[in-house]
Amino acid sequence: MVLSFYICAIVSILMTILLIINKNPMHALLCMLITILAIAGMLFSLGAYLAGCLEIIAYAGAIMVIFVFVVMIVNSDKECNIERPQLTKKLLFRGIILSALWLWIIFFFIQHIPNYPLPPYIINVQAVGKLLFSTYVVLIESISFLLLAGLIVAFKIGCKVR
Amino acid sequence: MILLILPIFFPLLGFLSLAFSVGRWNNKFCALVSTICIGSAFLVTMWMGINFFHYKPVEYHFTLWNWISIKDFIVKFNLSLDGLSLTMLTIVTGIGLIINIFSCWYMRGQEGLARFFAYTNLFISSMSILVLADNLLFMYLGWELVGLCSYLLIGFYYTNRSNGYAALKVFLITRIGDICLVLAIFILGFLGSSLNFQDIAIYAPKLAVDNKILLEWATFLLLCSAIGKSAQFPLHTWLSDAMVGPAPVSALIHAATMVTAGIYLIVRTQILFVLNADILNIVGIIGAITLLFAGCTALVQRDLKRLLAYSTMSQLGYMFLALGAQAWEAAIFHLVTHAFFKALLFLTAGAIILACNNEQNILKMGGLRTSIPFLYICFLVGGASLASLPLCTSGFFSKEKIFLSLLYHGNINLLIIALLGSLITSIYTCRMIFLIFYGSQKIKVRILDRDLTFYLPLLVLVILSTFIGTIAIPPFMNFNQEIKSAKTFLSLRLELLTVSIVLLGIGISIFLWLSRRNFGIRRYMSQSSLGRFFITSGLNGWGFDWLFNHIVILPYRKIAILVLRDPAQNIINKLPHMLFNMVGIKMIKIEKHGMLRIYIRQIILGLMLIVTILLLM
Amino acid sequence: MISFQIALTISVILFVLGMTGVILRRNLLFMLMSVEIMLNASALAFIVTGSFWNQAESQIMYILILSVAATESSIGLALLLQLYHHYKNMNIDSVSGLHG
Repeated sequence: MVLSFYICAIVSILMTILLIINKNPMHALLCMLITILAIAGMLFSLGAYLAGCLEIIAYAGAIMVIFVFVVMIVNSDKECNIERPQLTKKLLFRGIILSALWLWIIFFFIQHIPNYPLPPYIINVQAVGKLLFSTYVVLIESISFLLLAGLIVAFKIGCKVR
Repeated sequence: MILLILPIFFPLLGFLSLAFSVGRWNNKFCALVSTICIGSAFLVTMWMGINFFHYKPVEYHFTLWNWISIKDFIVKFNLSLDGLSLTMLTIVTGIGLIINIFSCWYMRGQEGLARFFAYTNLFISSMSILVLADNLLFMYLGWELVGLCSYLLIGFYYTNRSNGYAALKVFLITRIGDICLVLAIFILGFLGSSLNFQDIAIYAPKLAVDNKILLEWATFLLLCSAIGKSAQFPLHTWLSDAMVGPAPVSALIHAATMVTAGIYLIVRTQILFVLNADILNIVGIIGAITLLFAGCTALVQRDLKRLLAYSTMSQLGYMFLALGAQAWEAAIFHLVTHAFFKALLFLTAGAIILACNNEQNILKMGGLRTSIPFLYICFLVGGASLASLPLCTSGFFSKEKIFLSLLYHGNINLLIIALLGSLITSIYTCRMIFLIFYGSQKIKVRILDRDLTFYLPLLVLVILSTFIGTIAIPPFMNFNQEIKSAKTFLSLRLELLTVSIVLLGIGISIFLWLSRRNFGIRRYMSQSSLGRFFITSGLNGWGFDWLFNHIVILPYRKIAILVLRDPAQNIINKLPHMLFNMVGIKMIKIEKHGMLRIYIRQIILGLMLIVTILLLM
Repeated sequence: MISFQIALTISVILFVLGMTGVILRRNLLFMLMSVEIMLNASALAFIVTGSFWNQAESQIMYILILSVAATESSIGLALLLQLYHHYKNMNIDSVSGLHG
């Protein structure tokens, strides 16, 4: 259990680094997919089964598919669309400095958090369901509003008549 | 007691079915659906009333569901029925049913009839919510819905633009009152942590000792909201403009039900007003001012519906006067009888206007007594009740009660003003009747085809406006009956005085408008400078519109023009520019480049700064 | 046992990597992918702390973040398609019209 968590963590970090360096959109999508699966593995090993399943079904199964469709539509094989990322020395330097600064700040404060080991509890899906439909039922309603609004906006923006 | 939900539910069902049926049902079916829904609400109310009297309970309660529940502030959708609610509910559903039946005749053949009936049903439903609600917040829901329905119904003839503006003006002015009500709800909720009317009655006396100033402010704000909704003195300008709607709308909303919501509010929260005697005095004073002011304005009106609107304002002033003297029962009794005769007057006025081919100016009508005799009789009975003709009309008994209660309260100034108002009322009522129905006929009358839906509502209202209507005495349980029992010598003298004042008013009217030889006093009054000043001011609403325009609207426009060019943005941008030009920093560009990536970088930098500061603290 | 600090650190690293991707790339598609990584990382942080407190609310927050991510990616991709139709490339510097 512990080992799987760390392996998935290392895989996800590696794949994310590959993702942000990659030039080809299809390869980048593949890296992202492996990242998502690795994060799902991390969720499973933490005991959050519902979250893990939702990650695979919704993220890897739906959002990634939307990305693949868009990559298919925009014809990214053409030369002009394959982006050469601006990995010039100046920009790389600035980007890495910024991220390193963020990381350093957050690490500084994480050290003050008590370092207890995470207990291997499995959170029951029924417990989540009970909470979701009794105390947090407003959340479900607002999520449905959000999805409806997203649907309408995507319809309106995505239609080709311009 | 689940029957309590039905007066709200049936008209709501009617509203939903009529609203979603636009274009598919023909007019007769819409009218039928609407009448069935309001009729069933009325039948349920009658059944509840019979149960109420038979078993002599105190109250009925019914809880729908929990609305807000945060720690110890709990607000539920509670419905409760006591004597006061039962009276108001009977008026709402009963007069609603009568006016619905009449509007089947009046609005025949007009387009958009489904919309009209849908709005009327929504109005009846929301007014039922208002009177059945158990706490202030639920009542506020009904209050707002009633204001919405008023806006929708006034602007019913939407193709004419000025109707839309009139509806908007009505909505905005009553909105001021609504804001005051919200503030009062906040204060009361904060002070007492419960908005239930019974809980208010329990914790208000304790608050009157601890937080006297806040409680006074809450009561004053409640009074302001009642002023806004019931068209009293400072916020009265909307009632005469609300007459652009159809006549049944004016009868239902602006005579019988919506404008009485303010009075219902004050009677419901009477414990707060009793504890703050100053505010109660203000209630009486505002009632007196409106009474005289509206009465004098009604004397010079030419438009029939506007005259009736000012008359409504004046009668509401009477009710406020009664409230100021702590005569709750008298005020509600006058509310009931006023609903009867004012609805009768408005419906008859609508029929008269239809008969005269949409002519609304009473100076152009005349001598219609022989052309439309049935309408003449109805109008005569309604006008007699308005002028409180002694002993045979219900208006007389209710006004008597108000006068007696003023006498017992000992407030002689207000009593004198009330008597003066009674004089003015009888003068303008008789002026109205004489100008329309007597004299020489100046206008060609159209023959209206009438049927049962025309005769029945008017007949019912005629019967209720006579002394038979006094049977509908409000069944209060917790008011003392001192006014009815004692008949002292002083009260007999007061009754004689009022009767003589009414007859004097009728006599003055006959002298001025009916008889042929009136020594040119009429001509003198209308052509002297003082008379012309009164007439022009009265016809233009005494300059209140001009006042509101200059105090509120024009400054708002000036501010809007000032802010149009966004001065705040210029000031905010100047300071960093100056700073950075001084220091010479070129890295943080505040240029107008518009490049998103630089913005993203700047956002991330700023966020890092904020996170660091927050975490360090 | 999984150490709490290390789990949070992993989530932060993923977040910062996503952020770096947003800064470094010009292509809108890659920026959107990096934003998805950021959202995923924050959801992971929530689940980690939920496992720490042994509460089920973390998964409810996860559901919310998931729906937000889904909505945002679909709308973002619709905007991407519009950008592509207009300018024939997916460079974000071609939409620099937001002056001031």
